[in-house]
Amino acid sequence: MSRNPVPWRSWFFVLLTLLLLLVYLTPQLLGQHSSTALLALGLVACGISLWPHRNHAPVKVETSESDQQDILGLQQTPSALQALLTSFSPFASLLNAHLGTTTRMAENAATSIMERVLKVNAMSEEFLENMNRCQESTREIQKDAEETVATSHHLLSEMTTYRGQREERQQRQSQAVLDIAAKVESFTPLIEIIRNVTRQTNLLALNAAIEAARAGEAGRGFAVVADEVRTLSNQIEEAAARIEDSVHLVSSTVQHQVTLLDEANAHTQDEMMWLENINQSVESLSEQFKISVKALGDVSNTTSDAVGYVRNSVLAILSHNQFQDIARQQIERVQEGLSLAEERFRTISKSISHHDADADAVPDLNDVIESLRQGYTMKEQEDIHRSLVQGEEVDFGSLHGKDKLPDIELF
Amino acid sequence: MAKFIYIVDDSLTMLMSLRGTLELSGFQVETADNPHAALQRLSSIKPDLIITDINMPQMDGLELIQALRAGSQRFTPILTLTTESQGAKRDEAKRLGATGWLVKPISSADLTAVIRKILPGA
Repeated sequence: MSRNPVPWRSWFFVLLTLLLLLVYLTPQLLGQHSSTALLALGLVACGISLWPHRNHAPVKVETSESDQQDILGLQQTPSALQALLTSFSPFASLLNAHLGTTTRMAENAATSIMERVLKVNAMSEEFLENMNRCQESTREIQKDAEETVATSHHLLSEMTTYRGQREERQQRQSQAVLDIAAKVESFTPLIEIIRNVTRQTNLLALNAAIEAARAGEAGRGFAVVADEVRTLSNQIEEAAARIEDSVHLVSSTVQHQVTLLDEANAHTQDEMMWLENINQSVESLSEQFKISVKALGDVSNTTSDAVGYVRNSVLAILSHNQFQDIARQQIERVQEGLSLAEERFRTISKSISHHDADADAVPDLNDVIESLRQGYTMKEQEDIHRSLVQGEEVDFGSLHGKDKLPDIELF
Repeated sequence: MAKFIYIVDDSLTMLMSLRGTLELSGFQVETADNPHAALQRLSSIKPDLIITDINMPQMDGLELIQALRAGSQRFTPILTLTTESQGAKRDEAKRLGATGWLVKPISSADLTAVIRKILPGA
């Protein structure tokens, strides 16, 4: 018995299915509904092409007369047809395995992406938290610095007032002391006068003593007086010398006090200058710190914006990753379609092996397609089905298509 | 105090996406990857809101809603989040006592807006 060739159309659809599968497996195209639809179409078309079906009126896939003849040729060679049909099982298993792997890979990739972006978000928020703590600390330091400057200003002002009052008091004290010194110094000419008077008195007393000696007995009493006068005069001179010493001592003491007052005044001026320098340094430091705090604030605001952007991006990525669950469910429908096709092939093969090629033993293709349709959960799947199987015009991009339920509905 | 949301979905991706979104939005979140585990856990806790998928292999989300309404979560708001587009299932969910019907994918902004509408002050 001659081996009939496999119809070219059957192989074309098998190859088309493989090609579509490869396109579908391309990671960049994961989640695109069109690739799933093409794969489903390929599988359905492959199933349609590989066996005759009793009633294919609803399916908009037409077979040419030559194809029919090819199929009839296969029917005349049951073993060849059976071999072809049974060869589909490992092929279907292969496709199912690929699709299963694709689903797992996509799920692993999606969860890995989400784990990483959540980690990035956590780290960026932790960074912002640290930045905010740092900014809060610098604000407190700036506040302390401003308080220190204010205190320093107040202290300087009080010191200036105190210094003015003290300078005035010191000047008055110095003047008073200088006045005393001047008054004490004014005693010096008087001491000289006293010395002149005592010298004259001494001379007069000496003359009186000479005259009293010349007067003899009559001058004896006068000699005693003259002697007493000279003693008194000597005592006065000694007192004048002591007064002069005291005047010099007082004068030198006053001069020393004036010198000390001048030095104290100079020290006060130095202290004021130092305080002013310290105040200026603190103020300058405070200003520089204020600039740093402002720069840190700008950085913090920019960081906050960046972290906000990261957070929004992470939320968007988390939402967009839901595509994997949707793609998984679409792939599961395709796997179900593959299983249905495999089951149908097996049934046909079985009927051939039992020499019972009656088409009634094989499930109706429309029932198979309807069975596939029953598993649809998405409007997109329904749209593709209506478009490709029933030939309806469907607007795939429409958000308000036929029978479209609202995406969000509260009862 | 943060509102407590319990999520049931057989997809690890969905659980991670929803947990991440809601925790970043200030909610406390606990998840279950199958309805049986959820039923057991929900018999001992009282979340402010439950979000459940509909098409799950171990148990249909509609069955879960029915069991929850008959049991410990009679008055807890329950949102469905599903790819399901059949009006009949939506109507069934409503009949069984679901609070709302959300279709995947849902943006973070839409999800948190709906939750805040159901849980004022959240």
